[in-house]
Amino acid sequence: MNITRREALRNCLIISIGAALIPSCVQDKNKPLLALKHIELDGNQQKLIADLSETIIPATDTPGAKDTYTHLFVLKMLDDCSTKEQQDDFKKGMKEFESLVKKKLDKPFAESNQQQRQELLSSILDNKNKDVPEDAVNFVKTMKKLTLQGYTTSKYYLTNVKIYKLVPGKFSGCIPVTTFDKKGGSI
Amino acid sequence: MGNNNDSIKNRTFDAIVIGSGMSGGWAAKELTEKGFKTLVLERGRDVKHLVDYPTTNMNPWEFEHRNQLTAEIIKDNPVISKCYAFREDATHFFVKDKEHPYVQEKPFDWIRGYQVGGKSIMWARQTQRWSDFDFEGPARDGFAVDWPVRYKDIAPWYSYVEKFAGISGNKDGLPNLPDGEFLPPLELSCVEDYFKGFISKNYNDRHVIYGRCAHLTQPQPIHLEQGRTQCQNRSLCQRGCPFGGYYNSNSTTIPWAAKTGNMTLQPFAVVHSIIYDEKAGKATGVQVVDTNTKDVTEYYAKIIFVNAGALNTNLLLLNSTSNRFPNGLGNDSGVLGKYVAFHNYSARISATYEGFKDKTTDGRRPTSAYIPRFRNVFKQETDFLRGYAAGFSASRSVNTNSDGFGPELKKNLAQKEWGPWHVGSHMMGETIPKESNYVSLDKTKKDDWDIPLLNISIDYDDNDAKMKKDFLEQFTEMYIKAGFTDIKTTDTKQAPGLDIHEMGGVRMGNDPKTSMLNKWNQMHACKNVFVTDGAYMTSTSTQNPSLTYMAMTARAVDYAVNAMKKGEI
Repeated sequence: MNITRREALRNCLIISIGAALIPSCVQDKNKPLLALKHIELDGNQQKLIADLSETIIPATDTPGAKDTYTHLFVLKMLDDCSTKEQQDDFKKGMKEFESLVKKKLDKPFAESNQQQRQELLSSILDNKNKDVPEDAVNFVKTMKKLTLQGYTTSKYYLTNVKIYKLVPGKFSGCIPVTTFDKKGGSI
Repeated sequence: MGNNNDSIKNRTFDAIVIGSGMSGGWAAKELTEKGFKTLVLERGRDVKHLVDYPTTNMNPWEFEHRNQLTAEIIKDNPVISKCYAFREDATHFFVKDKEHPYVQEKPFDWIRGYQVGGKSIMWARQTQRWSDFDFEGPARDGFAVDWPVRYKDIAPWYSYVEKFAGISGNKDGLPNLPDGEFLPPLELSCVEDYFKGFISKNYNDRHVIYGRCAHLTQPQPIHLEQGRTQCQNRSLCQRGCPFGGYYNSNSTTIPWAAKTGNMTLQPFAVVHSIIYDEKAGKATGVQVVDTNTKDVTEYYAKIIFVNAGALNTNLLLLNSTSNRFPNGLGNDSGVLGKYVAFHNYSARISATYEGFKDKTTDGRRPTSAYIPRFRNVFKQETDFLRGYAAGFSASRSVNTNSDGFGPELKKNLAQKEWGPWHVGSHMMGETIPKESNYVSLDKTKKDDWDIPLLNISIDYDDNDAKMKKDFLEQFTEMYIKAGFTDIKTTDTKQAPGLDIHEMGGVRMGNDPKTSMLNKWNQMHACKNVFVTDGAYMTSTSTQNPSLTYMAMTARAVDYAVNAMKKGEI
């Protein structure tokens, strides 16, 4: 990947993603990141969602969930694109997840390190762990699904990892895979 | 309503065109080019080419919901949400369920676009000519009534509209799918090309051809003059195209008509009814409701073209009653609103192909390959009437490994692993127009503009079921023989309407006792009214219908203008 994290971050900031997001940069710990219309999630719950997104796709030498605003996308989708039933299930699952955090981590989720967080998520999705409530499993699955959806449709991803061209120009019906890879084709 | 002479004069035109979509745009262009002062009435808002395409240059990440519909929109719009093109990037071009209700006596997904350009903004842009195997269908197979036209009558008009609209395709020399005035075709993918070769080697009666579509693959001077340019293969057509790369009324016919100085385009004007003058024995104008103020105004003209969109044209004529025509304008035969048909799109098949592992496609393509109807073309050979065409497309996927969490997951996502080729087809079946498939005016319910709601009573029949079974069997066989694997068939069970190819109700025919329109799309019983949208279709065949609407519209205008000059209208 030929883009530095700093550059990616700057690119992301340039994207107009709505004035509603600006205050979230200004910091106020318990203040919600987004004003939601259809699901109630307080500042702490929103922060947990953001931290979970960042755990799933952390910033490394390339941008992570927060750098690509994926955490805000997750909130937006929970708010607007989930049915009441899905929202209720999600919140139930979140509660179960929080009690698992208490049980399995010696610190709050926010203060645990990436390794501890990842292990928790993996153990929840591990079929062998029969004692994990189904709601918690679905909660983690939903978080992963939305985070992946947000990250893989983010500007960073579609301009650096899997190239999206708004104006492809030519369509080629049959080219060698090697040519495609070399010139960075799009599908 | 002002009734002084000046006011009447201001409201009098040579021609009125009701609707500005696929066919209305053509009526407007042809009439104004021939010097007719023409009033074009559009029930929706104006949509100006380039100006009113708000999402056209947006990247995927710029959509709040990444092009997904919100739960609220889906809940409020059970019908329109089923439409494949109704996504975050184009919701503004579709009629929402609650805005314009209708009555489903039987389930029918009525997909509409009320704006200048109508559905020509969001259409699927596939354009094939009819042949005599289509026009002669009803007469040969004994359904509906004989078409009063044949291919030779329409062929020059196909050429005429194709040159202006810009149609890409390949000259395939098939008698059942005549060649047109083609711009170069869009490439087939490796697997489509393989299947094309395989089918031609193994079947005498079947062909896989390049999709024929309304895209400027090589713009000609006439297209540049329209202000349009080369299609860039964005495949974002439903948003409106900044290049004018595909044909819609907004980029092509409407501005062309405007340029003549002869067009008055009036948006927010829904036609309540056509006014019939018993003494004169013809229509004199239309009664229009301003959709915002609800003011009612009459406009007058010597000829009227009805292009409201197939079912709305039925609605309008049914609502245009007089002493002479108590059951709807021109409806001496009693067939108005009946014999409505559509295309059966309710089955799909998909599979994978393991070959061509070293090849892929690059970019997007606004069409697919096409398999013209091969059943019952030259003679009756199955236990059902008529047949189906099908799309065929093959493209390669990239498998994304989304295992794990954290850095490992990121690494997995960044790795590209080429998956197999995915192939797929969907059926486009002809349905048989029947008296029992009809639309009518609701006796009690009216809309906000005092116009009765439309009752829709349209259903599949046994012939459709047999044809669907045959499609799935034949395609399964072809797919297996071609070496495709993991074959999956789907009966979508979708209601009629979602094909967005509703046709008929105001059918053409030779006999005024059994049809509404003569061979010029002219009402048998009211000679200065012409119907040239999908309502005129006597039968549906399998082709995407818009090209035929365009051709017949240009032909009807030509006839109407000549007939007026000769004093026949």
